[in-house]
Amino acid sequence: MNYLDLTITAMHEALVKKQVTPLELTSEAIKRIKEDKNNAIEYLCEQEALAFAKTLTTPEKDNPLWGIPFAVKDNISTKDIPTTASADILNGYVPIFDATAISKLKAKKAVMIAKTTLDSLAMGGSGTTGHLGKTYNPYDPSHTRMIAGSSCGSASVVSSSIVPFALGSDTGDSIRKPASFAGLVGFKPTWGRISRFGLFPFVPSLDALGFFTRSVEDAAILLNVLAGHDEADYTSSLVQVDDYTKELNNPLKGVKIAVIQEIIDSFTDQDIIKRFNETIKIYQSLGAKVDYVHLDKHLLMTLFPTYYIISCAEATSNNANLDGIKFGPYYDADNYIEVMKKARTAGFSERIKRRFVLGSFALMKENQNELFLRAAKNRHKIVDEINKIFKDYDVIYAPASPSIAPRFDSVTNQLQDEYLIADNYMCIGNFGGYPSLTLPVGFKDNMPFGFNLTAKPFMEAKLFNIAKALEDKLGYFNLSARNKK
Amino acid sequence: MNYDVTIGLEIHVEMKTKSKMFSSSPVGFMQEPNTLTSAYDLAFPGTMPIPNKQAVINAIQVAHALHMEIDHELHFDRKNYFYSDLPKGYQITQDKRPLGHDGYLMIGKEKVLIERLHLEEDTAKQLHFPKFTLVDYNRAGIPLMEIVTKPCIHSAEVAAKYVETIREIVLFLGVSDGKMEEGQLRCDVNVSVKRADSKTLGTKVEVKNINSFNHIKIALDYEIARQIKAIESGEKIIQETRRYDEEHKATKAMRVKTDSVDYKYFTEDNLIPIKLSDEFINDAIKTSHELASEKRERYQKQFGLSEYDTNILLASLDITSYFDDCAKLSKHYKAIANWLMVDITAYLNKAGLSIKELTITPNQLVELINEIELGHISNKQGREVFACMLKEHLDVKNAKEKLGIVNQDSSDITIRQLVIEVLDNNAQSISDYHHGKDRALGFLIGQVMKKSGGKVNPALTSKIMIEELNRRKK
Repeated sequence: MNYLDLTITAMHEALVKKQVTPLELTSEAIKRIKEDKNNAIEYLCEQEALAFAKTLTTPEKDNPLWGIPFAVKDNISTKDIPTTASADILNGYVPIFDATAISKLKAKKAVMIAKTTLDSLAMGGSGTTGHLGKTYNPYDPSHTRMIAGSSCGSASVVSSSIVPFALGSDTGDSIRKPASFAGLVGFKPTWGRISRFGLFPFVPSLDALGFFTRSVEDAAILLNVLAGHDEADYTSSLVQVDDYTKELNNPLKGVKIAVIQEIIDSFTDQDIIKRFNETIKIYQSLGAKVDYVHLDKHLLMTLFPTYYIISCAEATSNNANLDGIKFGPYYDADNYIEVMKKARTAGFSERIKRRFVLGSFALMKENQNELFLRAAKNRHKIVDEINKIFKDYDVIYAPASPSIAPRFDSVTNQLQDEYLIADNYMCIGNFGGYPSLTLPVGFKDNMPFGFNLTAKPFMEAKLFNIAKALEDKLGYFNLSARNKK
Repeated sequence: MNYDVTIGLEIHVEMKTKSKMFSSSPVGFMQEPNTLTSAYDLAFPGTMPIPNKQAVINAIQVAHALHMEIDHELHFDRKNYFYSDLPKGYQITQDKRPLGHDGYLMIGKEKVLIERLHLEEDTAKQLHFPKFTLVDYNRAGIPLMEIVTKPCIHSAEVAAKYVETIREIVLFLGVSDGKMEEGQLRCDVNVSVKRADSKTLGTKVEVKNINSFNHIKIALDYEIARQIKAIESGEKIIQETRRYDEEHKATKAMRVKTDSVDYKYFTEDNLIPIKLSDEFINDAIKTSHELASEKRERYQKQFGLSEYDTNILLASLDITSYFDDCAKLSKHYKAIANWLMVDITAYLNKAGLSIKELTITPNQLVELINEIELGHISNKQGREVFACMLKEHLDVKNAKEKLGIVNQDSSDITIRQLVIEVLDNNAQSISDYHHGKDRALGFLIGQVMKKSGGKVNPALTSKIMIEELNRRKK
């Protein structure tokens, strides 16, 4: 047992008691990164982190992040630290400003250890498409199973106990899905609750900056630091910031949990379903009311295509700044068109180009009504239905993934309900801008899996309360591949 | 054969706000390249747009001046295209819901219908060289207002006058300096010509690159004549973009317009719709500077200035500001106008200065004018004082002292005493005057001036002299 294996809360206690120093934690984290075999790191901030950690000598009792090491998904802008979004087109790009979330963590004197891998430009869910190749799941040393993405590197380093938390971004389920496969708490806030300034945009209306932790309480503590209006993000909310830890240990009596029958019906893994039913019993035993509600299955089947069209379309525009002229590798040519073509041809993966082509197609004047705008309308329709459920319930509850992490060579039938609904329904959280959290609930074949809770906008405190109740009962707290039981 | 001409105009106005449309970098013109930029202007990943409130206020003021309906919600869209002067690969603009719509502007008796006014951000400026191109991002993100007319103008004169009037509006509202030569006001013109008896509209040709007010009419006259000539010789007018060639005073083909470019407009989700309350809009309108047309009316109706004088004053916003400052201090409007139009303008032109650099304040000018109007000094002396004030940087009092000018005596009683004395000693002249010899009056006044040592006001002396003469009429 090393102090670096602790959760934020426990690590903070050890720091305050001077049982360990930020420098020791930082050195250990760097050592673990160097030994790590999961290809989760884009940039190791070795000198920067050590230099900063050395300055941290007087523990701050009331600052839970003082001296705590953390990692950051590489699509979040970090001043003077290369930020590539795991895309060749951004090789060599060194931002001149920090994302607001980074500024806030720096102000709290948390220690940034590394930038982590992602599916290139956060477009993808497999954790295999970054320019450094596949990122592996620390629970599977044979490297046959995914950790998923797009926040693959951040999930991996928290799961390996390299850091107790890492920032990620979530546009469809890019935090909450890998959290399921890595046995972590993965959280995305209400849209606008955490500033997106400095987060490389993929789909602004769906994007959320969130994080991985190894406990629900840690997630609440982090949100306390990161939530709030930001002058630099016009869409950041003016709703007053809560103390997100205040309801953590409230009794669940009176809490209403909705389970959408049609979502559950799309799951086929009996172990997952069995475990799900067990947790429902737990919730009931804790005094929560759990009801099965209905939502048109056909509407659920449109979730993935709706997400795909909106995200591909907007991604074309949000990445149009990557033209090789202002930053990133420059390719000389006779005219600007050739300069851009060369940069974009070399700098984007085939997968991304395919998405751009699809996205452009959906935005074309002659197709926009039939594709992009239709998808946007359908998104609203889905949100309307979900809001109806939220009139009577606090959270919607379902497994966060069809099963444990899939193998890299597994083939998915993309027309099955299991893919269309079970594997993709979590984008509901992004469609409606709802706060949403995945927490670990079990293991199968020595691989973890998690369940997801999605709440009404700005009801994060309640969401943490409901999640922690289950965490407490199951005892899946501070899981990591390093310290498997 | 008669021809119908149809013209529509798109005018882009660069605003002189403190900061850019969506970033905090300062707005400046003719500055060292790439010194007025920020991470947003260069589209660094993760930067986000923050709308400029003043730009919105400006746009409301102009929309109001153009009698437009003003949208109570601000919506922004993206216009997507790749170009080396467009850092983000899209421009934030207002496609679906422009800030202003359906307005008009009277040009003489013609009503020019204005379809829309919307806000957007300017692109970077490119400097092309044979082997390379340089990009100056100072311009990238400067707030732009685009004002689009309906195709409703039928002559080059009205089109040119319309652009002039738009310039005057943005200039007087303080929104832009409207310098076409510096690209602060840019206009693209669509021109089509058809035979008067033809039912179908002519082919639309776009003319760009008109960068001076003087060129608008020349360019349009040329283009209209070119199209008429083409039609008469049976040529087909090509739908194309042409540019105005200043050197040849002609329009030259630039590119053929195939299917118009698909800009794939869609909503800008980094800017949630912004509600504009009645209060906000009304405040913007209430705090508008006075329009040129309003000034023109006020100068003529309230101040009694001629149309000619008014137009001369209105040729410069700064002159009108100076005039307005003076007019608050004195009712001698005509005299103020005269000083501005004649002596001050002459001085400024000669010295190569602008009125903002004039050392004589409105207060001082009004004081000088009062001296003259009260008869303390003559017009001629006034000019001397004026010159001395400029040269020696003195106020009126000190300039007079320096020149040794003492006040003319304008006391009625003193003058009347002198007049009576002179009349008592010149019975013959009185008689001559009463027998119609006007010269006698001049002689008598001369006597008074002499007696006073030249210190009495001649006009007043003349008036009193006539009164006294009439009193002695038998």
